[in-house]
Amino acid sequence: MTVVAVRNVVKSYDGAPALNGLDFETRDGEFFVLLGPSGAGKTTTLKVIAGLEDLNAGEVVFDGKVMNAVSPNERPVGMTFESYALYPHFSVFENLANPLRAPGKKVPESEVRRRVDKIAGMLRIDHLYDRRPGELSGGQKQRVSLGRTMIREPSVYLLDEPLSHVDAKIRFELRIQFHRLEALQNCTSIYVTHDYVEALSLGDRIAIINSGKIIQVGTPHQIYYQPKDIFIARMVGQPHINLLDAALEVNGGDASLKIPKGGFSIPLSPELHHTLQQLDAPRELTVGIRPLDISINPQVDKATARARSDVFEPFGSLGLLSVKTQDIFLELLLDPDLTVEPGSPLGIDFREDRLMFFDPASEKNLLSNED
Amino acid sequence: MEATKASHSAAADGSEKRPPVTSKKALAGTGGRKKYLPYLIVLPALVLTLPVLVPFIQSIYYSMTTYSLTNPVKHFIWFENYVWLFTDPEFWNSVRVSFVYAGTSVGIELLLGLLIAVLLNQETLLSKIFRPLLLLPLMIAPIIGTLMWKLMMSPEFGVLNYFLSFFGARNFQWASAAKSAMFSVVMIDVWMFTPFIALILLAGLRSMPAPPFEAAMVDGASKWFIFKNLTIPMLMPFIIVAVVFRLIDSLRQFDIIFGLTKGGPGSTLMNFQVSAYTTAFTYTKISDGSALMMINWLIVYVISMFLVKFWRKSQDRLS
Amino acid sequence: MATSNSNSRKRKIFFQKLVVNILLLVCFAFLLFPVFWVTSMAFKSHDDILTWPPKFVFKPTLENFQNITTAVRTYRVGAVSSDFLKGFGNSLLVTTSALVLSLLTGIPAAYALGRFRFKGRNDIAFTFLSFRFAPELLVIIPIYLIFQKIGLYDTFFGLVWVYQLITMPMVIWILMSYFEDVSVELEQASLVDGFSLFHTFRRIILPLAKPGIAAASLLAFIYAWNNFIFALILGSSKVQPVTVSALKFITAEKLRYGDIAAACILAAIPILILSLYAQRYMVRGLSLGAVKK
Repeated sequence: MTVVAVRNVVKSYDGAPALNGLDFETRDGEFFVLLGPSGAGKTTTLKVIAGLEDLNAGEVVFDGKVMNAVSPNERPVGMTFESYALYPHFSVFENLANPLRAPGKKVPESEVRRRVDKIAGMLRIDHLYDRRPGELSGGQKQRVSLGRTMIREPSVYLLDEPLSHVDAKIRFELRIQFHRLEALQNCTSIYVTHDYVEALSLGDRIAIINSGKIIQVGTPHQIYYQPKDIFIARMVGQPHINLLDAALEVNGGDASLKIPKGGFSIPLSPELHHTLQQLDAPRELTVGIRPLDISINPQVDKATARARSDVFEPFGSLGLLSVKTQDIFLELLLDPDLTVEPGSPLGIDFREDRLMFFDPASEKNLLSNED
Repeated sequence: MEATKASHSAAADGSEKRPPVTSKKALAGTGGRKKYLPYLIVLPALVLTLPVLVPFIQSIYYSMTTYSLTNPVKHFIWFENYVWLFTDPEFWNSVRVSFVYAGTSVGIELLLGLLIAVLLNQETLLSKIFRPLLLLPLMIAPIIGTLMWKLMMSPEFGVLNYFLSFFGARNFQWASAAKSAMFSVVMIDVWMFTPFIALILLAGLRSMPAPPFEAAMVDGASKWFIFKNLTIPMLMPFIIVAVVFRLIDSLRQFDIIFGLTKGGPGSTLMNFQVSAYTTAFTYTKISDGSALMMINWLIVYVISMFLVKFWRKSQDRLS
Repeated sequence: MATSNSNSRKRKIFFQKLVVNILLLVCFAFLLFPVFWVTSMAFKSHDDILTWPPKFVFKPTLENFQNITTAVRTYRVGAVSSDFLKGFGNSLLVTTSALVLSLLTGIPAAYALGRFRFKGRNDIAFTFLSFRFAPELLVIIPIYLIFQKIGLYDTFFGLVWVYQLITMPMVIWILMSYFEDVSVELEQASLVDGFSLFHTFRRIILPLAKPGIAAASLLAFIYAWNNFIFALILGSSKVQPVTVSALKFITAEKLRYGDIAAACILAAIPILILSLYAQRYMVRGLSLGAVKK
């Protein structure tokens, strides 16, 4: 159980910064997810924590102890690599047993056998002992890689995109397996991915990283419903969040958000209006609403906005409906069994408690709290 | 992807005069290890080879003195030797011989090597049989190969003159006559080193991706057109590597010429190194030999710098 | 119509293959004939060689090989006794020692140069490369004088040391190319498993670089064995490798063609055998890693 802290780490490659003042701290035993697009610095972060890469400034701290000068083979970390990095000239058994053969460990052969059997059984790879990595499927390699990491019984697990090269179907199963692996659940794990579904599903807390900096840290719920800025709001969720240019209008006692390009206005409750006033919200705003939070009002005349249906794509458990209101398209998620004729007029409502307000210039969420 | 990464790092870091030695993907992080470790690891190899700098500096020094083995007084005379050298017709003979030899040999080797590479790239009975035999001339030590040719070139009993007798040239003098000496020595060079170029070009031909060729054939391009506009340009990196390697080696050729005639008859085959050898050891004029070698070195250095720059730039394309 | 088209195509392909085969025959006749001819000469008796027209059919004899391998033998003409077998042994000793020395120091160096980022890395790597391209006499002339002074002339130690200029660049540059192919993450995984860099090198990197070591060894051996100029100038009767001692047959007044032919064949055979094993490393090795197939 270790608390990992990354304090203001700067790391550059040939002058170009990969990590630019990276700063976060995990909680004891937490499953901490690092989510970000390609090139954000996720793998670099893990390698710096593991000690495989040097840093130019800042500190890596385990339980209050600064680890900068400690070499990677002496840090209590285990790491899985995106490429699995299985030793091609070792059998699966030897790959798994490798950490136990480190000099200074002096583990008797029977003990090695026992521990490998235990882990291999847990991961269901004990029938592959004599195979070479070249003969394994992607999912099998991933499990061997994980097993090798676990055998070391590290204090900190570093997992670099473990599921990104695995078939979609197997990815789903393996993700469930992550939930079930006690070892992982009880140890501090830092899990890196670019897939928000994995992040939202697995993480106790998620840290969004982009361009070598942490933009937001929060629980999956917080990330999903209180994204700090438009970038995060767009990254998390499929289909994308709907973003609308809006203008705040006050008419006597009633406040509403006029959507000029959509030809409708969203009424604001007095509480919400008050909140916005308190925050000194600008008159011009960007409003965000997730597809799931827009609903169809069967009484078209009483609906907030009038739209025409455009394209309906039912897929599996959901249906994606694209509608057009005057000049803009909105995406909605609906029951896939609905029959929607293209071009038919619809009324749509917006769930007020799920509205997000962004400053159009800074792209920041006006309602978010500074963590 | 790799190409842009490598060239980017060369541009971004101003202190790098040369293209980087390896691609970025292969480099390890510096985590945990002492800063001096790489120097420590490289040290033994450096200790073994760097002492060569001593004779190198001495060569520069000797080339600017009056040093000779029979009169070992070293007067420092700056560049007088070089001035004298540039006015000496023997020097210019060496220059001419070296360049004619290198240019002719490499030129022929390129054409012949390209032909052989193209032939071996076909799938015929003989191409499969001959492919592993291509290396043979290249693997024989140059001096040994030269001796073998010398045996065949004997005007009296040599088998080559036997073949030539069918064309009425029974008494071709080969290396014994000034007129045919260059021809003889170039022939040996071509025999010995065409496989080098052929091998590299064959590797190049084998590495060509099929799609552009398939597309061209579908578009109805003629074979010659494909060859001229697709094959040759794509083969360019390999051609350049092979040719420059050969040029550097043939401009400093010693074994073949020395083995055949020691530079004769007269000075018809006195290229840079053979000339320097004779000057330094037969005529004991160390200073002149050193000066000659400095010039040879400079020429070869310039060419090799070009190779190094080009090699790194196209390495990502080749692999 | 269809059959006549495919027939004419078959004929065209047959004709093309014929042309290719004929051209190949011509080219390889040129490339292979000298080897064939000199080999046959090595088995000819003295009289069979010095005839005109040259004999293509003859009774083979081993007298040439006997001549040159009998330990001490004074030739009928000239008092030069050329100890060919000794030259062979010298070649073996000098080449192998030089190679081993270069491997011991060069393998780690190649790794450090290929993997680590450090100041001067490029300069050091290219310095090693420059040994391959410089004209030998540039340094041999002064080395000759130095060796005379410090007593390294005509010694194994001196020759093995100077041969480093041949073997080291090959070992380092060929291995750098092969080390590049070993994924960095394998090393990193080993470090995270708890192994030090040294153990990682021994257990993971070195075994995976075995093809590279084979390639470098074979090629460095070939170039070192085939070298002539270093031994010519810096060595004498004590350390002469086979390349120099073969030349001694020529300095005698009358050329003993048969002996020379036999010497050439024997001198070339070890390398020819080695090159059979080195076939698949050839392109990468000859170009010092510039061309990867």
